[in-house]
Amino acid sequence: MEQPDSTIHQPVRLQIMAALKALPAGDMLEFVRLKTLVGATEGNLGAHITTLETAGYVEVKKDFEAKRPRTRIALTTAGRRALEDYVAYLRGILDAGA
Amino acid sequence: MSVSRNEAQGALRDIERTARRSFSAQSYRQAAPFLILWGVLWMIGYGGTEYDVHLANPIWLSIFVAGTAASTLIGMRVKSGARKFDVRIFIAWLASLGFFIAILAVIGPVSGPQMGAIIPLIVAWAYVVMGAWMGWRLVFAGTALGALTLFGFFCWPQHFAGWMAVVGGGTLVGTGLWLRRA
Repeated sequence: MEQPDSTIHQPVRLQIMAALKALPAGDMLEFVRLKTLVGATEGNLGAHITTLETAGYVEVKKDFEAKRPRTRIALTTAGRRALEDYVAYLRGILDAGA
Repeated sequence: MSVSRNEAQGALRDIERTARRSFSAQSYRQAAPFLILWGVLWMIGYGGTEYDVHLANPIWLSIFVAGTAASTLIGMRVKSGARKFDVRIFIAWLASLGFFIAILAVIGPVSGPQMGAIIPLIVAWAYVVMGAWMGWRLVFAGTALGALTLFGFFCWPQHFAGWMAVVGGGTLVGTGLWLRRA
């Protein structure tokens, strides 16, 4: 990778990806929990999730639990691979400077 | 767009920190209902034992059966709300049961209060060990449970069961609620 993936390179989006990567494959994280983990405002987080969804890196599911609306987010296979590539890119920079 | 060595280091640190917090939060969320369930069952079991020690065996047998069934149901819900039987939880449960029976067979007859202290101490140890991977809240809960169990056993033996109903069961329920909010 010559250049970092500009979609992931943004700090909040990087945190979203890292938080989702920690889950077992297929597991989803609720929007409110992700908001706490990332420490972003609701609007800000929503905008970044939309960007990641458009890039195909996350999938968003909206449903109801006990009659209350619930939004859940998961990393897609493409998203998982993109984060791995980004981490490899960062490690490459550190290794090159060693 | 170029990334400096310092920026790369910072980004990797952020990824590591966020992933660790996410893993802890997820582990807490999954552990919470088990702690609340067993906290309530301990309150009933130790409370019943304190009320009438002769009822201890039937009460604890009922609690064991009810707790096993309820834990299995909770374990089936862990995968994002889907009802799926997780054989690992069942194996862990069977291994724990076998371990308790083997330990008691080896060390010989133990009194009711000794039995009532050994199990919470093993649970406390397990929380501290699991907490080393899952997050510090479990380490705290295990340390508190172990210390309170020892305090009740040595300092208040005449009402140890009552102490464990309130303090032991209360610690589990309180920790479960605390983990659920993480």
